[in-house]
Amino acid sequence: MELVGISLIGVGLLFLFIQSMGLKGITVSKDQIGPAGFPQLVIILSLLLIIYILFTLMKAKKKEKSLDWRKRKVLIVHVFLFFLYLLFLDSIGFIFSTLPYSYLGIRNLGYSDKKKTFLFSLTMTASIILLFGRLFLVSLPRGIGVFRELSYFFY
Amino acid sequence: MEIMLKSLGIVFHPFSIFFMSIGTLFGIMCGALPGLGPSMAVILLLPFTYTMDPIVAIVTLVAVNVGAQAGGSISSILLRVPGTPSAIATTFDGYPMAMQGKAGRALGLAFTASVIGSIFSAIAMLIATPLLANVALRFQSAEFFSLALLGLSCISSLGAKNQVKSLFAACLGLLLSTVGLDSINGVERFTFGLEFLLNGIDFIPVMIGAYAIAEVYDMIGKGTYSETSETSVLKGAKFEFIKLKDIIEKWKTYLKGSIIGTIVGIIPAAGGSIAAFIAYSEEVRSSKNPEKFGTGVEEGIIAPESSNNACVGGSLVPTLTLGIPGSPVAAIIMAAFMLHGLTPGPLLVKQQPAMLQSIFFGIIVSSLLLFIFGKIVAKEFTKILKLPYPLLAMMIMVLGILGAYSLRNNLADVFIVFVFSFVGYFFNKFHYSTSSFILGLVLGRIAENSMRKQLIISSGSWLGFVTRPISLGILILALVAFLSPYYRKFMSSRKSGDVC
Repeated sequence: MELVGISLIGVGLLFLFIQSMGLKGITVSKDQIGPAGFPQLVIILSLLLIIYILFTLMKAKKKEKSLDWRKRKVLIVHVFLFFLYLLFLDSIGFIFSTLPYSYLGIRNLGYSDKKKTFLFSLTMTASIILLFGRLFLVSLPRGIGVFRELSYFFY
Repeated sequence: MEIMLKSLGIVFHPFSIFFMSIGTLFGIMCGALPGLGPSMAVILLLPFTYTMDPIVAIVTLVAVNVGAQAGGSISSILLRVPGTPSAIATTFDGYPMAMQGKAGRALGLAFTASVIGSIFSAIAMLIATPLLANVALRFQSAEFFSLALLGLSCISSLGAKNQVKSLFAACLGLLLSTVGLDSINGVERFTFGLEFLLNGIDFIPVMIGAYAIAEVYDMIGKGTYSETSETSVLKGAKFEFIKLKDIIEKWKTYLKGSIIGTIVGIIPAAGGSIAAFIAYSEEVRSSKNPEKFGTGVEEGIIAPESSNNACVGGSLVPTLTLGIPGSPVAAIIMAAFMLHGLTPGPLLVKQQPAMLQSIFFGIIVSSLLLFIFGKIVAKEFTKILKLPYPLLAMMIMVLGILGAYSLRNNLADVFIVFVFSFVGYFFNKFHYSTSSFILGLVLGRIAENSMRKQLIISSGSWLGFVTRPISLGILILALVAFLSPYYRKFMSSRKSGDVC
């Protein structure tokens, strides 16, 4: 997996290097390095390091320990829930996304007490709204449409 | 003497003590909560100071700053979510200490270092304000570049297990810092037409993703969470007051951190996070066991915490004497001066002779209050650790998202957290140094911009970096810091070769 990851980063860096060749617009005549100079230098150094790392990895040929299926499933569901949460945060607002997200997230991590899970989700959401939204006037996502209107009742 | 007595009278008036206590407590709380931070804390309390006496108002706001700088360490240590940008370096060793069941000691060290740093900078501010202001004015692009290199120099030590991987991680951080509008030419770099990338990538969402969220993934992946939260971590979670003997034993670390923080604080636009990184790097450089940093070393908490709090007094030096704010918080405090009809600058000391000394006493009082309120707030926060891990994990996830969102009220920052959570997970799994990555990201922009500015000033000549004495001195220090782990490795391998 490390080999694949590093190779992908290497490809990404090559792509960025090609992109950086199009960075023009030297408006400051004495700026000899220009906007592309520093990123290109860093990319070249990174690519050299990648070659060294890849060489070392291939030489070592260490077999990676894979996660057991149950743990992997929990992790995948956790990441998926997190992604859904971020996706819905802007459209349904902080309250209506955080409540189900925290409830389902806790349950996914194996906490069995449903009542406590619900109470915790509710308390955490309410505390954040009170502390951040009302006391410190930090703007929390409000959502759109009816969710936006509803959010004004709380923060 | 008369001015001193007047200042003492103002600062030790029951009302002043009351407001300073409120300020310090409020500051610690805001510092500890991700998404708020010192600037926000001072802004929030600013309206309440309109009707106060100008000196009391300024002293209260300074107390808020002192509290917030120290409070940032709480969430860094307990949750791996830095409460303030200047507490990022505290996470490197603070969180591992907490995981080893020494959270209380880590918090005690952080607050003791903060108190010492604040008091040191206050004394420096009082004694040498005009002198220090002159030193600050000598810092130009060459010196900023050298400072950034000094901060970056600890990469070689941070990745003791695999220095190549550490260097690679730092390079990725440096590359990431180039995203956005180039500040010299205004050219869009690696933005791919995405508007939110024009301002560059802020290091707070990256840090939250790569540290806090990635840590949650890691725990879930390992499946060890149910035991950890209940037993080992909780045993040492009680706030521990650091004994005088322990402070004396590590006096060099406290002193170095405080000096670095004061000096960096004086330099306009430098700030607490840079001070903390430089102090951390210097501590790694001078340590006999640099490879242990990042695994829960006490000096790894003392150095950044003493330096970020020393920035409080340091940043007030150019504000008071030159009218140039040394940090974003100092800029807000400068606005508070103006709201009270005072103009910071050379005339202020003449117009308000008691102001400087009152601020000095104010910093000392609020620093001492840190012990009381630090213990109270930390005690409340450590209760979080009593939560079973599934609940704690969700709290970290939601607070992390809130911290990132509140930066610019932009959902893009939240997705940055998501993306970098995978980067952090990958780095953790395959032993790439996340700390080096963050270091590269934080210091990259300063390094590039100051290097190019200096080259423009010196018409393309690189000699400008070595002909300026301060810059040359810092460069030598950076070079020594970078090469020392390699030198040690070389020497030890030679020794073992001799033995064989």
